Amino acid sequence: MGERWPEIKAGRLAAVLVRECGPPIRQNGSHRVFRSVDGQSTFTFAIHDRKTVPGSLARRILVMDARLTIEQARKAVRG
Amino acid sequence: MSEPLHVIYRHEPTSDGEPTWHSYSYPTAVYASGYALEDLREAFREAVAFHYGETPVPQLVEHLEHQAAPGVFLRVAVDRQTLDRDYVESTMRAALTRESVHRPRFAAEQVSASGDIVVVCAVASDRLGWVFEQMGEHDALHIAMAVSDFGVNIATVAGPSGIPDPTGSLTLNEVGLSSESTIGEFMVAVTPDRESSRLPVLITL
Repeated sequence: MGERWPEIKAGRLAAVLVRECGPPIRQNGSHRVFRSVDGQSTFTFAIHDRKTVPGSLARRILVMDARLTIEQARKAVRG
Repeated sequence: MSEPLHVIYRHEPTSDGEPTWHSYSYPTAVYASGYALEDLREAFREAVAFHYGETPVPQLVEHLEHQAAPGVFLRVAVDRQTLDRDYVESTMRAALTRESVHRPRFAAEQVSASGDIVVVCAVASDRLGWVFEQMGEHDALHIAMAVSDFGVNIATVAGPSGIPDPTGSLTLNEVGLSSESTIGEFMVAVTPDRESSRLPVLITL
């Protein structure tokens, strides 16, 4: 199995996404559409800030959708 | 007809117990959460409508994912063959609780983009393309199919960035298959013996 990533609050993950991808291109409450760092795709993050996100989901969002490398994603979550 | 949207509803409780369900989807990524599956389905539908705006939402194909062992998730599509898939799921679940010597082993590097093992519970008539639709370039997925009353075959597919080192892997072309091939044909092509079944078949998405 891969490395287990720690859980993260959705608000903190959203802040990481803003820092790495820029502000949401559309937003309505907790529904936020982000553009990947390479500008090639968009994704919607619709989890309320106070909820907890499993580490597995955070990893998926940062690597697959925000398109950070694993190292960048790990650093972004830590920083 | 447009490409369907595959949504996976994963049951993965967090340490504070709530919420327990989260969604992710392909090819358009939409993330939502819910305290119960029905809450999540509703939240996902709202979020996906927000994502698409005025554009019609594609047909949804729903899947459920449950953890069967630490870090190992079993994915079952909710369709007219769910009962057949449930059989594969229960066989896999039982296998994963056997004594370690008899337990299925998964290569540590063949993980999904979430960093865990995901096993798609398939039936012989499923198309490979249907599996490819429910994965991304960073995923490696294990496909399980019942082969007898007591066993399942397992083979692995990986996206271009799905495994760190593709050495020893095969391509679909090399095994004489395409995305139109069935899982039954795939299993015959890649699992003639146990050694070859451990090699992931690299696919291009």
